[in-house]
Amino acid sequence: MYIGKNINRIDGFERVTGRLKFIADYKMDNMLYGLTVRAPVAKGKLKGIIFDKHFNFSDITIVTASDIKGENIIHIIKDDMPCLVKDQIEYLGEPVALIAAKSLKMAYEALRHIKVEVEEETPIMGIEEIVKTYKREPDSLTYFYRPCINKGDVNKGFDEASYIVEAEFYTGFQEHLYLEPQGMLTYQKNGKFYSIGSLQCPYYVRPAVAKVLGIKEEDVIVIQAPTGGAFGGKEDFPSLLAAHTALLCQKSGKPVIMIYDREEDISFTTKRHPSYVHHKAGVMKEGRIIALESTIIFDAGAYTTLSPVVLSRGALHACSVYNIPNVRISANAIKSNVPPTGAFRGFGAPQTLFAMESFIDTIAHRLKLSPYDIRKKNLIKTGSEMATGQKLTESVAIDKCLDRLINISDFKKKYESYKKQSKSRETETLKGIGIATVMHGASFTGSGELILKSKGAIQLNPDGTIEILIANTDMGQGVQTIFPQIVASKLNIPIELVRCPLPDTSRVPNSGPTVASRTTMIVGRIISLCCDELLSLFEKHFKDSVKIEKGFLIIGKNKKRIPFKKAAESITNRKPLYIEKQYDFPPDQVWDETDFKGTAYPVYSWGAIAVEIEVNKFTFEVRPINLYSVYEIGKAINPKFSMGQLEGGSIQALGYGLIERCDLKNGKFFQNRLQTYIIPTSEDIPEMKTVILEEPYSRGPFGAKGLGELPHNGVAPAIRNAILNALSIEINEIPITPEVILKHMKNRGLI
Amino acid sequence: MIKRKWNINGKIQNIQFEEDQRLLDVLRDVLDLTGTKEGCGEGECGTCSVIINGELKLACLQLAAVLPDGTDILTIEGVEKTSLGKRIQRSFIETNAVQCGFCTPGMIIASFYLLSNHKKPDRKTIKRALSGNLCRCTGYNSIFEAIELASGRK
Repeated sequence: MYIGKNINRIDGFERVTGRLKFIADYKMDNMLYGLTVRAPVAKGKLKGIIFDKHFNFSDITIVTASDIKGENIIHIIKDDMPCLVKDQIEYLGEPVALIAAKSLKMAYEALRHIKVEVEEETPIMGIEEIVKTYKREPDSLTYFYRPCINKGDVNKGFDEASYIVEAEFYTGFQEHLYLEPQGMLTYQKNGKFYSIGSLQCPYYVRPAVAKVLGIKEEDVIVIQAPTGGAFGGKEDFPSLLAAHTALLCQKSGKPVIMIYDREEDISFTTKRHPSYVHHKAGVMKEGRIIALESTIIFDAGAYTTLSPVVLSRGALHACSVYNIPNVRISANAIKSNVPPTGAFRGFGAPQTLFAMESFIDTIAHRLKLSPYDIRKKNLIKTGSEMATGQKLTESVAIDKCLDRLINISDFKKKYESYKKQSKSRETETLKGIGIATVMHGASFTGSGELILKSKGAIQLNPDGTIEILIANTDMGQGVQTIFPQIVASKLNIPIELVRCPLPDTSRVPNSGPTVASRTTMIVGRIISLCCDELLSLFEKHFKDSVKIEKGFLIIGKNKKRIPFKKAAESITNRKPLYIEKQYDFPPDQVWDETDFKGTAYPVYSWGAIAVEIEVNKFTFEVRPINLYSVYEIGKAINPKFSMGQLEGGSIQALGYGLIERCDLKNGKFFQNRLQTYIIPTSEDIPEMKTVILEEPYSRGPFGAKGLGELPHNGVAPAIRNAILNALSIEINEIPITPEVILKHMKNRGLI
Repeated sequence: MIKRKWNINGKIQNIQFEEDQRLLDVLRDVLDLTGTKEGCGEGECGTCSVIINGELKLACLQLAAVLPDGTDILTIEGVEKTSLGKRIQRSFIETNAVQCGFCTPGMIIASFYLLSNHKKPDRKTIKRALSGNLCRCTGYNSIFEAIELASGRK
């Protein structure tokens, strides 16, 4: 058994020696280097692309919208985003044309001799401006999606409540800042187009490329190159990039590579949706919340892309982990003139959970209750009904997480003592501690997995080795190690016999995208089903009962032992045996997309987080000192990998809450380089204590649930609540930089 | 064209490159030593860390032409030939200090430089020594543990 064992990363050696080839390390004969000609304004009409008459463009491949042989559309959910601007510009930097040359130097030289002429129009930009317009003239905005969730009777709840509490919350853009920038290479071989690159979802890229080139999907082969971090940033965007390299490749007939530099990557690729949440709660004297009315706005950027599903997940996590009898949520994904915001670890949940987990501390603060007590009074339990009417039946562990957290962090004592600490002039720093309790719904929302119909396969080779054939990508989280652990444990064979190569669409079935904390839980289940099927094929082959023990097949009552390799040789008859299975969607998971009623997620993972901070009273710098977390994830297949996700996600979330600022200035991201967009360094991180709890999920492989996004959900509100504890001020926006604290202190007349 | 004779990873090599090329380009494009990565191109992320004449440097900020004949350059490709390098690499795998692996070569170079100068650094020293190398996957803890393991502290 390899489950629950700290198996080393199977591809670790290549990664520590620099041997692993990322896409920027690929070279091909006659390869051209591609660059993008971009729109100079955030909104306007494209009037012309002017090529300098004095520059020799004869060696430069040029592609504009009129060169597109297929459709000028990047298909994601709706077909509203063009591959290249034809007439209308919707964001600054939108691709207008593509060029490619023999060297990057030549390509840059050519780029300097191309001018884009436009007739500028007035854009709408920034969450504050969107909210202002929403309040004054909501009909003037463009809505990509507007779902509502209704439960009980909110007005009745407000009537019965002892108190009404209201607050507004804002969150900003967040850049993924994967260390490896976006990159893609497309070449042609035997009449087919091969796109290889840094990506999460090969089966998103394949149809996107085919549509733009005007060829059959089967004639496009997408291969994942080793991917240097993604976090959602390589879910939707690579479809556009691959379409670009493919167009240049189609026109030039040569391999074309495009590697974004960091400034281009931050400026023009997706970010986390900025958000606005207005909460109004009806609360009983003792702290029970009996009604919640919420308005949610997400800044979706210029095109629909993934915003409807990001917003859905946001809305479905808006009540956080609380059992509230009367709920009304109206959610809005609104168009603006910035690059389309997209997938990012947590996918809408970190925004709405920041709002609700801050709001519950606001309620506690105003009603003079403890953050712990108010949570205890409202937590969901097995049997509770969520806002969509979903009844929670298994693996509900938030109560356990919270109690364990209080214990390991010594929260109650610290909270009371920091509340009473002297605010006198002599002390330079004030301490604070804050908590948050969160969940994350694992796998696609609602009927998503039913529509996906994911298929995965295993291939038993005559030499007894097994290949796992899935479209799911390893971008650091460890798919290539965890899946062999699952298969070797299901079959009781040595893990050395099993491998899980990076996906290539000509070899692997479509097991769906590597997103939504779904890979281990959903695709792991499919692969487990393949292993069951292999066992029954062995039984058919040997015409007797079969089980496998320590690499030996044990056949029939007289327990005949055959080494697995021998058995493989016998059943395969020198031809690889391919076993494919489809995800068996739970029949009791019913979802109504129109009314947002039913089972939103088959199961949830849970987390309780405490952050202890020091705030400098003079500079307002916030230093996180301790980060305590308790996460319940069903089963940790590989505990050190689980810990890697939880700790890494926590620090990314720490950056989100405290330092990662991305402001718009004249339509541009002001922080568009690593000198200005700041992420946590080794010196910025607190001491971390992380505990994993396991309440197995009946349908997960060995009980496992999704965990990759969960750690992004609770750290930011816990920081905000710690600042409330330290300074007694409610700061309802992130990131909480010193400038933000200064602004709030001034607004309250405290300085 | 510039001509130089450098000692690269313990091997004397004659090389030619353009006068405006960065050391990073010379390593990756001329010498095909692609283990050194480009993450930002402006000296912030540390993925292009190399050791030049015993000092930790960033290859993206280093103009190649100013390095004279006889310059000693150690890249990730040379680290694994040393026993300290091997020990660090094993420790990185053991503590799961490697996720996506893109920061890893630079991180290992910075760790190698640290442990070449401090036998058993404490946590504070480790944090300081790695502060020029960004990692977005791990949250750094496992990297600290890897260095402690390699130094025999753990």
